[in-house]
Amino acid sequence: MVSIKGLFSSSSTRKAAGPDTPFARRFRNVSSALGWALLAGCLVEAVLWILSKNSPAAESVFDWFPHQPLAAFACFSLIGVGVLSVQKIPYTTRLFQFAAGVLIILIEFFSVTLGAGGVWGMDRLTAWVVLLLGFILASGGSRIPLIGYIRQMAIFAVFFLCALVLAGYIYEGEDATGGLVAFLHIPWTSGLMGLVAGHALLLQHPNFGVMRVLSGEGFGSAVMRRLLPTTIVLLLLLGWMLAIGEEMHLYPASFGESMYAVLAISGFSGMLVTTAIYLNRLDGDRVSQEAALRRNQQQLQSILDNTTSIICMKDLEGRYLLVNKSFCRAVGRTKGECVGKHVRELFSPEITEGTLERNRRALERGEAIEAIESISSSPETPARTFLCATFPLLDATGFPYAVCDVYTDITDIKRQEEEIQHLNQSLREKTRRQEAANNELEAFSYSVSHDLRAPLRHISGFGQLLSQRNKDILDDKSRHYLSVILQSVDRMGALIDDLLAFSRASKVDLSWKRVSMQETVEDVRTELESHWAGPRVAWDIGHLPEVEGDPAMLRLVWVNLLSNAMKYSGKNPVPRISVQCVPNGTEEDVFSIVDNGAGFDMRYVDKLFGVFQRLHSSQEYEGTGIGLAMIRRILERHGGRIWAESSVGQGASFYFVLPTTKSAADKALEA
Amino acid sequence: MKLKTILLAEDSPMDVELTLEALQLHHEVIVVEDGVAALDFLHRREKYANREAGNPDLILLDLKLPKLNGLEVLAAIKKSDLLKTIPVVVLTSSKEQPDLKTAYELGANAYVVKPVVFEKFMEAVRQIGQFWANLNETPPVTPGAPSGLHG
Repeated sequence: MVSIKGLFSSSSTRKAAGPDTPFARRFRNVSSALGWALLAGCLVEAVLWILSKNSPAAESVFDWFPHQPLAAFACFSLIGVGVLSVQKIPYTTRLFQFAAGVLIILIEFFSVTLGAGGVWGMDRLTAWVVLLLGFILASGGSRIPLIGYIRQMAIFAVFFLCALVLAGYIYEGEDATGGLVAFLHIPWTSGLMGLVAGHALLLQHPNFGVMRVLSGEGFGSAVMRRLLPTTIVLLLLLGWMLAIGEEMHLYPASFGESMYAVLAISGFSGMLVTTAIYLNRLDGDRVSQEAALRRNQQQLQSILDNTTSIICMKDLEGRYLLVNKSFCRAVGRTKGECVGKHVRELFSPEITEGTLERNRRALERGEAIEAIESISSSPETPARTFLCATFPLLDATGFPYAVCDVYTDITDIKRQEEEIQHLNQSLREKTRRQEAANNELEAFSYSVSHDLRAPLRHISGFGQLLSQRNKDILDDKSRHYLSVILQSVDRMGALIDDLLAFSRASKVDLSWKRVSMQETVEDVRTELESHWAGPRVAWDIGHLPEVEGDPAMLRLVWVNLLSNAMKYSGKNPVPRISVQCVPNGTEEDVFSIVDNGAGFDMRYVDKLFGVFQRLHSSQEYEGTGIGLAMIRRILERHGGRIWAESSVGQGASFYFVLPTTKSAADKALEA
Repeated sequence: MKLKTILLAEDSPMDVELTLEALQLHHEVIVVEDGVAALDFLHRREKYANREAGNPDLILLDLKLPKLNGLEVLAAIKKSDLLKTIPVVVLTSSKEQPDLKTAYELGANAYVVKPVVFEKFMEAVRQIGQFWANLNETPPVTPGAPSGLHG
C-alpha cells in the first residue's frame, strides 16, 4: 500500500511513494495551472463585485456572470493559493495549506450556522462544496493513508455535486425550480470553481490511490487516459445534443432516449475499436522490445561464454551470482556447482583472501581497479599470470549490489614480452659487437692506408733517385725493371688513395644541405672535360632537380659516374652520355646515366659494386675498382640505391634513386 | 745572400733524406727526430743550448713524431710569444679531417699531404720551401727576443 507520508518529506523519499512517471509530472503541472485559473477567476469575480456596487454596466454583466458571496470568494482564493503552494512541498507551505483548510472550514461553519443573507450568504450547496474543499485542502499534507483515501472520496463527491450543477445549467437552463433542483440551483460559477478546485487538488498527488492508475505507465493506465476524457466528452455532448433537440421540439422525448442509446452504442464501439488498435500496437511494441532484449541478453551471454577471459559476478558477501564458461573451465566445475557458492568454497585461502581484498578495494573506490596476479589452480600446475580487472556494479540509486571480476590470462603475452626483451638484448649486444668490429676495421684500414703510403713514397723516391743517378750506367733491362717498380708504386698509391676515400665516404658525418643536381653535374662535367683527352663527348643533360644531401659526397657520386661513362665510351668515335631524372612518387627521384661505351656482361652485374671488383682489365681501362663501391656506400647513406643494366658493346645504363629530402631519407633508412 | 733556415721535424730517416734532396740546395735544413728535440731546438736548451740565437724561417712538421706528436709541438709553438710568428707547415701522410681541423685550429699556417709519387713530392716540398721560407714575410718578433739565426 502506498503511503502519502512521502509527500511530507524530502524529494528522495517522495520517490518511494511511487514512480514519478511523465504523466505524474504532467498532472502536477496541470494542477498548478488550475490553481492559477482558480485565483484568476476569484480575482475577476472580486473586481466585478466591487464595480457592480455603483456601475449599472457591471451590474448587467452579472446577469450572465452571477457573483458569489464574499465568503465563497475568500474560500476559493485560499484553495487556489493552497494548490499553488503545495507544488514544491516544503514543510511551511504544508502547514500553510493545513491552516488555510481549517480557516475555510471555520468560515463555512459560520456561513452555515449564521444562515443566509449579507456577505456571509451562501447557498447551502456552495457551503457544502466549500466545506468539503476545506477538508480536502487541510488533509492534503497528511501522512495517514486512510485520510488520503477519504480525501479522494471527498474530491469525487465535490466533482459529483459540481457536475450536477453544471449539467443542470447545460441541459435545463434556468427554468426548473423546487426540490432537488432548488438545492442544486447555485450560480454556475460556483459549480465551475468547485470543479476546477477539485481537479487541482486531485492532481496534486498524482501517485496516490485512484490517481496512480491514471498516471501509471502500464497498459491499463494508458487505456484509461485515452478512454476517460473521451467518455466524459462523448456522453456530455450526446446529452446536450438531445436536450437541445427536445427543447427545439425536433422529436419527442421517447425517440430522444432511443437515439441516445444508439448513439452511445456507436460512440463506445468506435472508442473500443480505436482502443483495441492502440492496445495491439502497444503489445506489438512490447513484443519487439522483448525480442530485442532477448537478443541483447543472448549477445551478452554469447560474449560471456566465448571470451577467453574469465568473468564472474559476486554479491557483496563474496557469493557467486554469475560465472562464464571460462570460469567453469578454470575451476573444473559446472555453472550449477559455482553459482551460489562462496569464493572460499572454490579456491584456496590465499586466492580467496586476494580476491576479497581486491573486491573491498574496488567497492571502496567505487570504480574499476586493475592488478596483475599469479594464480595456480592446483599445487601441481604451474602458476599462470592474470590481469584482473575488478569493478562494482551499481543499482539505480548508485549503491553497489555486486562486484564483477574479469581475469585475462597474460601468461603467454608476458612470456613473449620477455622473449622479445631477451632478443632485443642480444640484438643490442650483437649490434654493439658489430659496431666495435666496424670501428676496429675502420681504424685498421685507416692505419694500413697511411702506413702503406710512407714505404711507397720511399720506394718511389729512392727508385727515382737511383734511376737518375745511374741513368748512364744502367742497361736497358735494369731501366725497365726500375720503370716497372715505379709504375707499380704509382698504381698502389692510387689504390691506397681510393681506399682512403672509400673509408671516408663510409664514416664521415654527412652535412645535409639542399644540393642542385643540375649545377653539380654541369660543374663536374666541365672539370672532367678539362682533363679529357678522348674524342668530344655528345652530352644530353636533362632537367635535374634539387635534393637534400651532403654536397661533397653527392659530387663524388657524379665525378665517379660521369668519369666512368666518359672512360668507357672514350673508345667510341662519337661518345654519347645522357643524364636524366624522373620523379618516382613524391619522395624520391630516379637519376639515369646512359652511355654508348663498352658496356659489361650482365652475368657479372653483382660484382660491379664490390670493393676492388673490376669487369675490365687495367690494360683496357684504368681504375682501381673502388669508385662504384664508394658510390653505392654514399647513396645508401643517403637512403638511396643504385643498379646498372648493360650488355657487352651496347653501352651501360646506371640508375640511382635518391630521396628528395632528409626526412624521406631517414624514413628510407629506417625501412 | 744567406740561405733561409728550415727546421724539419721528421722521424723517418728515409723521408728526411727525400726531403733534404728537395730542399738542401736552396736552404739550410736542421733536422730533429722527435717532438721534444724540436722544442729543445726552438727554445735553445739541452743539446741545443749552445746553438746560435734566432728562430728558423720555417718549420716543417710531421704529425707522427715520437715523444711529443706533431700537434702537441704545434700547440706549444703557437702558445709561445717568441715562436708563434714562425710559419709552421704540417707535412704528413694523413688526409684525415680531424687531423686537418685540429692542425688549423692550433694555428698551423699550411697543411700539405706528402704525395706518394716522387716527382710530385719533390715539387711540393720545393714549392713549400720557396714560398714559406723565401717569399713569405713574417712580423718582427717581440722586442728583446733573439733577432734570428743569422743575427
